[in-house]
Amino acid sequence: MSDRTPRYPFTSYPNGWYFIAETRDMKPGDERSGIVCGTRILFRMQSNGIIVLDNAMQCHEDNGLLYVFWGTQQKEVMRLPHFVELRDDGWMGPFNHVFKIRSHVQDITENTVDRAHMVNVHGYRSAPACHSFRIDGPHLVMSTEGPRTMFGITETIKMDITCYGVGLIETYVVSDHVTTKILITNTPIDEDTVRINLWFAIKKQGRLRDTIHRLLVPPLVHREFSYDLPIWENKIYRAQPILCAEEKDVANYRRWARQFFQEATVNEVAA
Amino acid sequence: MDYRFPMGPYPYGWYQVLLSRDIKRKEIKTVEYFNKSIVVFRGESGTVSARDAYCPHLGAHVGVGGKVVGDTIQCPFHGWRFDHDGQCVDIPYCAKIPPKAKFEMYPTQEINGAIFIYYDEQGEAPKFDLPVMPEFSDPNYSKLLHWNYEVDSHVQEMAENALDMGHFPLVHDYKEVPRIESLICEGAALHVRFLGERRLLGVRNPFDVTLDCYGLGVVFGRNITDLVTVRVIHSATPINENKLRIGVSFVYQKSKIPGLNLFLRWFLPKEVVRFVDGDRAILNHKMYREKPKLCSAERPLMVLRRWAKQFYRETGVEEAAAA
Ligand code: FES
Ligand SMILES: [Fe+2]
Ligand SMILES: [Fe+2]
Repeated sequence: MSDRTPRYPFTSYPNGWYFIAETRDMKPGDERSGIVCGTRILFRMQSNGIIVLDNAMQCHEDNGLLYVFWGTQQKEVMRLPHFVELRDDGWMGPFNHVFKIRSHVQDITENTVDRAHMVNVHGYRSAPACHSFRIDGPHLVMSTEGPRTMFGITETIKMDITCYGVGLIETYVVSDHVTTKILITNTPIDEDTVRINLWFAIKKQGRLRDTIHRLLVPPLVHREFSYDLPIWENKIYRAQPILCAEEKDVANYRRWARQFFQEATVNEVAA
Repeated sequence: MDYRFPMGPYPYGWYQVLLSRDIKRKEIKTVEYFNKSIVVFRGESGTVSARDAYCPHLGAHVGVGGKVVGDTIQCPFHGWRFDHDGQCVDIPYCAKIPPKAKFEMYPTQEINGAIFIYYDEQGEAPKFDLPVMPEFSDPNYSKLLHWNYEVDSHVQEMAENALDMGHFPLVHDYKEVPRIESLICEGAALHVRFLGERRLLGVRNPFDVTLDCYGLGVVFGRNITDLVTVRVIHSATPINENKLRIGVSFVYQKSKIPGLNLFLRWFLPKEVVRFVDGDRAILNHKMYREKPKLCSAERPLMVLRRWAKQFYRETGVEEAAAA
């Protein structure tokens, strides 16, 4: 039988930073490994507490999350998210959900600029408005605002989003009642599979509300995300999608994302 | 598995993909044929249509989470709605619909208790239609009985098998080779009638069989015996280059003799299963011979092969050039 045409017309391993593993419970001398882009990568903690890889790849640790850079020489420096809230006393967390799905990192990240899907998939009353959409080299920064109804209550949800390449999406979600910081890490495991980690922290607001939020927010974040999964797993990639006038962001996103498929990209942590 | 036939895997024509009763109003079903995912939905009016599974917008699979709204199917991703012709008729957040927002469609015919789609790799319009067989909606006939199974074969092999009288005694334990009474090619149809005899519970039971092949995917058959008249749909639909789904559906004329219907209801399914099982084992392993050694009684096979050429684009062109 002849093979089906490949699912995506480009590599499953675009250049950029990818999350590889958590390091918070590692002790000096500990050795571990994780898989990024079909490659098993070993790392260990030295006696001085610094993580090193056993190969020539570049790595960076931030608040207990370890990232490696996949790809070749850079043109513009790609920053990394700085997730201080994960360890901050003013925030509850870290919370974490993990999904392993049949998809592509570019498709998953495309979801952040795809405001139209928020209605049908996530129960928004109308597609959120886009207040700003800015491309900054390998980063894409946008903010949106839209009404959504949950448990019969309609509230306004504001989001401030930064994409670091197509592997990392940092989002502040501010609703009328709760503020959450979410980091989505998309790591290609093999040609067909992406491991998605949702890391999030919830802003503290006093004992009673914190207790409620601690109970409610993690399952709600999980639920929202699980609505997207079957769509991602079963869709195809349309290189020439039929877009309507309201969907320029998607076209702009794709143009931006092209840089991660070229030989020379990004590979340094900003000081 | 390597492809083992000299002709293309998907001759164009009508192919059965579902039974009518498999899909209710407002229901969506995904079927996998021709190495593709095909979404079938039945609208509120009862009309059925078949389309490529993937939305022309951003490629979501409309069979996964899609909804039927009136006589349209709504994509689960951004809520665009599409009609039975594949055309987008509503975008919830946009007044102007891009004219190219249209699904790739498969022409659909729902007749004789089943749903057929027309498959042509080039997407051309149907070159022929399937006829309605009144017995399938006749109250004097039983309700539709159906079997299906997978086999590693090619649709043409299935048609050849039906015309290959020589295999009946050995494979289906007939008393003798049935006699071909007539064999007529008529455009996309091929009609054959053959007569013979079987023993049934020790009693001689002559039969009179008509097979009407429409393309290589669908055979409407009729078998008249002293005991009962049966109407059959024999379908062969490629799942991929190497696998077919074979469907056998039939209705039989209800008898006025008390008890006989009960007997038929018990007996006929067994017969059908026994019959198809015989072919199944052989087709799974058979090799297609381009130049088979045939005895003169097997001339029908060559008639069929000549007729079958029209369903392949490559050979169709050759023929035209030679003419
Ligand atoms: S992918 Fe179908 S509506 Fe967007
Ligand atoms: Fe989403
Ligand atoms: Fe047979």
